[in-house]
Amino acid sequence: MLIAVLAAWLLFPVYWLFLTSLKTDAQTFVYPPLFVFGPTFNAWSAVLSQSVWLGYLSNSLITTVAGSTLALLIGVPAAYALAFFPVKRKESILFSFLSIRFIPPIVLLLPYFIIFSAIGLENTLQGLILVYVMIGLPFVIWIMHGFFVTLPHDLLDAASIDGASEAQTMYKIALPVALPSLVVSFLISAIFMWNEFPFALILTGEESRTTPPAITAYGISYFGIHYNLVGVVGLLSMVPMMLIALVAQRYLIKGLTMGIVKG
Amino acid sequence: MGFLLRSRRKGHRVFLSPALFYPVPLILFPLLYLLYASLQSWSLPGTPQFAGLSNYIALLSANDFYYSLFVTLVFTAVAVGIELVLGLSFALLLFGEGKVVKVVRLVSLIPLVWAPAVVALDWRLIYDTSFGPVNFILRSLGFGIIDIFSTSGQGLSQWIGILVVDLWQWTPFVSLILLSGLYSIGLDIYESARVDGGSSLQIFRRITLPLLRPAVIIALLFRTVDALRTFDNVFVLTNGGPGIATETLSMQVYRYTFHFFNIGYGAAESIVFGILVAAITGTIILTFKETILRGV
Repeated sequence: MLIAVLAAWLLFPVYWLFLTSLKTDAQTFVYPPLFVFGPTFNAWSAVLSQSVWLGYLSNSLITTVAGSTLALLIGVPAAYALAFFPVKRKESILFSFLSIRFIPPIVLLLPYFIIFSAIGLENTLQGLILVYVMIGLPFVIWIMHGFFVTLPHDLLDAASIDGASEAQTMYKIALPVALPSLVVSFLISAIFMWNEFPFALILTGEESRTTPPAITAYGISYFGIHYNLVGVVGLLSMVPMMLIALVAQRYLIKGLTMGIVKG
Repeated sequence: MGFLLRSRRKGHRVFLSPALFYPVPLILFPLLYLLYASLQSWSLPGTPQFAGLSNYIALLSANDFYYSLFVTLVFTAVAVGIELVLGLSFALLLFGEGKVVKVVRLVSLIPLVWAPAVVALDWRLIYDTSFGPVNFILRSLGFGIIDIFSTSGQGLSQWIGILVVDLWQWTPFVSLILLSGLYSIGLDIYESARVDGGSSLQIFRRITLPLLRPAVIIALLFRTVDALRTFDNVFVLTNGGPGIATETLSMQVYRYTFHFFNIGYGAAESIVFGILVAAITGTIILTFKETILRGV
């Protein structure tokens, strides 16, 4: 029953967080730690009625949706061009976008911090969105390019023979067929933006804070920490991601590896 | 062919230019600025004074830099190595069509989509010295405890703690990639091998492993780069402690930039770190270019 061990290993942290979220404050500070106890929902109602947590979650939502959408708007035409037009140095361009994915965030953090502060973009959602689009672009371009190259040219030839411009060909012919890949690109970018930590940590202040740094800031503080609240927020922030995983499960690995692994 | 001929006109400029221009202010310019900052003697609050290569000289003679470099490389090698082996084992376990297997495959997606920082926080609770289950079990079994918050010691138990979290989070990633590879090998190959009388072990070593090479390369690429950049886990679990025992290069840049606000030095270290990652990544990408373009 190795599989059972594997499953238990994978589920334990989630389970522990869930257990913790159902404890009262007193129950979280008990040794030996409680595995069996009467559950209470204080922590849940506390979080759901506190606007500050809802604010963090909505900041995450705004930056994620805006970032992914913009990444698609910029990246899809680019992927299309790279797939169908005779672009010079196509490979280099593709690999440049791949390397963007590999830049250590901390390397960009210093200049972003200074530049954003200087032009007033720090502690703004717009600033963070700009950064997130950069994070999402490599995924969009690689995934969509990977899809577009599988499209037969005759499909598109037929459109241009009928007099369609490149843009019309893209919108009317290629994109409808590309819908699953579009959705995957959007969702994968969304996952990275929702879970993003270093940029959100440094470039946001109280007003624009997204969920991951908010949770960790709270969870690391040494005074009056409510582990059960940490449990609730941790689980809440995971829910959208789990939904994405359920919806896109067959495409998840493909997305996470930017289309290189086709699943 | 008509489509290709027509598009030699302005189409591809308009389509491509936003994507090509966007990285200029967001990647190129910041990197150039970083280079500029690294040549200044500059701490906040304060203004930059040109200082030539002095930051780099200071960096390359700093003990903590070499320590961080060393632990980052070792951690990467150990973590990726273990994840490849474990990932392969999990992939073999999960290779099948049974209902149980499918459910566990779905479960293994959880660590992938969960924010690394929140995962680390969760494990922080689990590792809690007084109230966490891990130390409870360790104590009951008579072992020493893993003290994430300790302020003394060499950091070995903290590294183990960080490693376990990294393994929990990323082994499924590796195993899902390898699983794709296993599926793409195709059942007919296994069939013919069996018909030719190969044992399971022989089949595995002579057929499966070599054919898994592309998948292993992809997993190696992604995991190596991400392990070199490790920040979220360390930041949340140990904050580089005890002292700087668990300070990966990302953490060290963070400390000098956002703790000491030594912008010049932090910039220099960022550049050196960036070059290191670029060199390692570039080597892997260039060596296996075709595999990456062709995919798995």
